[in-house]
Amino acid sequence: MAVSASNAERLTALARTTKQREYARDFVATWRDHVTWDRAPMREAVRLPGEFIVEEEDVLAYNLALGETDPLLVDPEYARVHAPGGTVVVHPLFTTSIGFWLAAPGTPLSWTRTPGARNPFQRVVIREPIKIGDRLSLTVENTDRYIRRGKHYLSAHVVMSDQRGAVKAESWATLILPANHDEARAFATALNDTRP
Amino acid sequence: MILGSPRAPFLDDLKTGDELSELVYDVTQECVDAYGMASLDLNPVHMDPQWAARAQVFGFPETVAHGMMSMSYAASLVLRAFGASARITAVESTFTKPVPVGSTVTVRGEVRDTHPIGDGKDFAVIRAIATDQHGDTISVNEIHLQLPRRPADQQ
Repeated sequence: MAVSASNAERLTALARTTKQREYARDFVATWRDHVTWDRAPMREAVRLPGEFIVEEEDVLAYNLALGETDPLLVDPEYARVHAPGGTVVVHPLFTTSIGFWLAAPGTPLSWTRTPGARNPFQRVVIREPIKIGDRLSLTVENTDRYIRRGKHYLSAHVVMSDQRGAVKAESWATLILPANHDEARAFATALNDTRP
Repeated sequence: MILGSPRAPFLDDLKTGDELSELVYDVTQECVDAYGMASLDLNPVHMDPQWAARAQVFGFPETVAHGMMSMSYAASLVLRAFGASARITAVESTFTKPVPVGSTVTVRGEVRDTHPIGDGKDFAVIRAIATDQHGDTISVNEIHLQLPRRPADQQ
């Protein structure tokens, strides 16, 4: 079973931007196409298909979700006059949105969408500020998987490049994941469990 | 010194131990939803209360805030102290405790060290600790902030 009908409706109602409306919002429905910890391709750098074109509405959604009130972050008219680039300033952790957009089911980074995943630590380095209008792509290499205190960790090095080929950001992403397909299925089908 | 001004100071103005104005936020399902939609991280552990109650990924039935939301708020702490255009060049976070909906989080930061390495690459490291309403640490964050040196004619 995918997300409950009421929750699917709730998520649909929450979608405001074009990307949010187009996005495959149900991470449970696509669980079979998420790379699992035990089957993740390792030590192979792969450029993910597609690109993320940074739109003003994407940036505003991120900044507003964090409760920002500085007009450089949330007021396009003010930013046109006062911001260094004439557009609203992109939050440094906006890289998160780009990562999830491009980590489509079936890609080597799809494990980031796995139901049951836990986030232990992350590192992001911003080489150049991201700007509205950038066309960004990701190259991903799953660099390590390991077991620590019975938990299964998977790590990736992600390089974000723009339309010029310039590196804008790098991240070292790690999650604790279900160990295999069976454990992933147990989380994905949690709503099928009829126990009280 | 408490750093709460929207104007970024020069690196020379900072000293180890200088504090940033704290940032407090309530973790409601509404704000988790907003962050989830904005970040496109729609994992049901954040976004589906019914699924979270069944799966109990962290051993309790509530949905939880995104780790990346906590990391983003740590960066926001720095943006609010140094100005929205402040040049953050790195953020590293460790998440030490899950944050269920209903929590209140306080983020406190201080200057850990300054790096006057020259060549326009001077930076400071801000250490930001986020705690919940019980005083338990939920994340430990280090933010690298590039800052200019004070020009010679302003010494």
